[in-house]
Amino acid sequence: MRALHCAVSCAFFALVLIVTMLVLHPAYLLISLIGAAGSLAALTGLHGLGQRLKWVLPLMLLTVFFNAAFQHRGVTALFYLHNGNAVTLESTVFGLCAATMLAAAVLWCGCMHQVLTSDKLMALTGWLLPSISLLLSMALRMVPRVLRCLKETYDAQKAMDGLTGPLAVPRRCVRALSGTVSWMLEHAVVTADSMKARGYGVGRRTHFHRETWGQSETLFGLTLLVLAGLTLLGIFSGSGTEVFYPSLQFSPPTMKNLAAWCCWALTCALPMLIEGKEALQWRRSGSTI
Amino acid sequence: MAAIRIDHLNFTYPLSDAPALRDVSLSVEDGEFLLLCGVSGCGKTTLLRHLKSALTPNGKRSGDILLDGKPLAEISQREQAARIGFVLQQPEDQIVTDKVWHELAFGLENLGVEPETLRLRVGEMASFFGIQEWFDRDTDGLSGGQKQLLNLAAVLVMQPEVLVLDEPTARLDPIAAAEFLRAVERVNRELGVTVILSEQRLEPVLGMADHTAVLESGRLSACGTPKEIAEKLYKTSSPFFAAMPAAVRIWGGLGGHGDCPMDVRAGKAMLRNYTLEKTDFPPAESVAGETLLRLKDVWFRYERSGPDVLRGMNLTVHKGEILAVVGGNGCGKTTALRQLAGSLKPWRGKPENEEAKVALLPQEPRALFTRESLRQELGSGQGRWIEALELSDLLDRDPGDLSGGEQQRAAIAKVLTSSPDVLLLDEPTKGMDAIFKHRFGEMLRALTADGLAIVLVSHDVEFCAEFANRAGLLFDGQLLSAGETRSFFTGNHFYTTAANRMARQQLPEALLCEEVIAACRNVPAPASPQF
Repeated sequence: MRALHCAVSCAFFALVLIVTMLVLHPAYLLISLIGAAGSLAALTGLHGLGQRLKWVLPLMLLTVFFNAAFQHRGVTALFYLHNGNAVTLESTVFGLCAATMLAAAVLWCGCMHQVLTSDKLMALTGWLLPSISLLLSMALRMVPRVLRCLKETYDAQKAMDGLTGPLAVPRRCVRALSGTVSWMLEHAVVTADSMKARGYGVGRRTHFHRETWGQSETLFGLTLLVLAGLTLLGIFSGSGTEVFYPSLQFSPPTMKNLAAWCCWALTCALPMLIEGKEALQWRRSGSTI
Repeated sequence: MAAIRIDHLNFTYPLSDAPALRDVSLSVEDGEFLLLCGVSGCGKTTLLRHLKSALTPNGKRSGDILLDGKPLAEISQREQAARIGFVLQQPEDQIVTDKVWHELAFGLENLGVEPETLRLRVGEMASFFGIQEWFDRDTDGLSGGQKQLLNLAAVLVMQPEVLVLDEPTARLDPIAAAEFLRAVERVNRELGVTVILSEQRLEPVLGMADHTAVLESGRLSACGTPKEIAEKLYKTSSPFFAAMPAAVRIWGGLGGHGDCPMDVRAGKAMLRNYTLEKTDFPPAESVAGETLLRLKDVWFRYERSGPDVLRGMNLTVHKGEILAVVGGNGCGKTTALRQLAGSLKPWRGKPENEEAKVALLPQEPRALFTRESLRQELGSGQGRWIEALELSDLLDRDPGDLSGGEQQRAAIAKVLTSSPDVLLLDEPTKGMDAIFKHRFGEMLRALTADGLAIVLVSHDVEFCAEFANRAGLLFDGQLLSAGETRSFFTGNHFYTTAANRMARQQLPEALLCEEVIAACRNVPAPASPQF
């Protein structure tokens, strides 16, 4: 998955995130959650998934709890709270769905973070907005430098200004900030020279990136196109409609709906399939690295 | 055909009466390696910046600069960008983008080179310099030497005919500097690129250059092969002779007979013609002052699961002494200083401080300055230090505008405002020229006369050997053999001065050029052929 051209991986993540966030049908959400968890495990190993679940699971529980406890719409009362408000089946199910959606989205974002590294995002913005891409790259270069300058200036001030009392820290911060700003301006003069010396501004710029389009991109792109078309067709023809209030109404598992869900499941399984295929290829190649 | 010819160039900065360049004429042949030297502020940078219109400063100018016989002014910016590569002094500030690969591509992107060609050229350059191992990395995480090498590669990827480098190693430690200069030499020898390089540390480059030009207050005072330059500077007893390598200085001190040796090997051969008289050198004044600071069995690491940077380090600082700590890159010198300053806490062992006030001069002295003028920075009541550190003329300047050496001095004055008992200096001689370095050493000595203790960590073996009372080698997290300076350095094989390496077979105790010169006897008559 990581080796794929950023355009196709970006299209993939856009599709799964949009469907996950807009279709709140339990079948779609469950498939999405399983797919996301499986993909993350395939990309980062079970350890990586575990790390993420450590805070995703509590988040899910909290979402369900708050929705059930404070949302009293719905016609099926499960029990009554001491203040007379009802905890309803509908709000509990909605809480469950929202929690699943949230968790799936977070896990998909985790996968995206693994696949779409800053290089790839830069390549992507490079096509759409070339000048913004350079600006972004320069900004990314500046951030750690500014932080380091700030820390160095602050430490140097702290070591010798002899300030005490409650105002010492803010005063030192202000001084460090002003020192850093003028320091960074001095840096910027040299950077500008370095850019001029290398011909910045002499004409139309091209945009270098390290992405290549090959057979696997074409294959993945076509597969994605077909699956996305079928999934969206399913959704628009009513395979994923959901109504929570006043009472629950979900698209039932008819043959047609099941087929649509299968398409969605295949889409969500794509990262796992690719990672699995690569692992298999690796083993077959007999490489012992 | 000369690659670059400068014809009677005069230049005066606006708002200045004295010209920065006076009637400079110079011709650099295609494929030549020219070394431009001179003390700080002699006009090296101004001259080099004239070789590229995009960087040329504003001011009053007369004279011509020709690239391949064509005036520079008639060559378009675009063509100049590709044909003349320029590497500046600051490794960090020249880097524009966040990724190594993007930085390499930056120049070619500006020229609008198509991605397919670009990919090949970037790959070629990364392979030539061995950059492929860190091709993917963030530029921010590179070492200083790697950053400067990246800057060189990012310029060469545009395939320039002429490469101009303005003191490229001034901010690097000697090991990284030597590595960088070797890369430049390769570019010159293997790619045939014309190189014009200015430098203050002549020791490593003098042997590489085909020709050397010396600038003295904006005027070209000498030009020729390095040997001719050495001889000419000796004959005219130029103050710049002090910046020459140790072998040349000893040769000059012995009267300038015969062929001028350029390196330790040739210097050693020259000394074989002499008898070096046994001399009893007094040990460096041992200062048995009271103990101010002590590190006792100190262990330190930056991360819990990381390696120990200091492993049972012991160190004592006495009143009134200069203690030098030398050692390779990343051996923990800066960490040890910060332990002494109390800004890092060891996880085992304890720094003992007998109520001494400690001031640390960080490696980047710029970090100390936050005000608009030096006068504000220093406050009042610092008259003595301002005199001693020769800062009186700089008081109204913005600390950010000062040159490297000036900033260093101003920073020392600033840390002395807290009237410390111990002064910790981190690489204080970085970017100083040889002549000023000597004066700086004298200043440090003057400071210790009042009982101030100075601890300096440095790569600069020559400086430490000349000015420290005690010295030690930091290795494997421990301070090895912190002893009297002479016994420490003469006991080492290569962590010692060039003069010692030349004379050690005959006079192992000699450390400085002057000592070797003084010990030399029976100066040979000019060699006559014998049959």
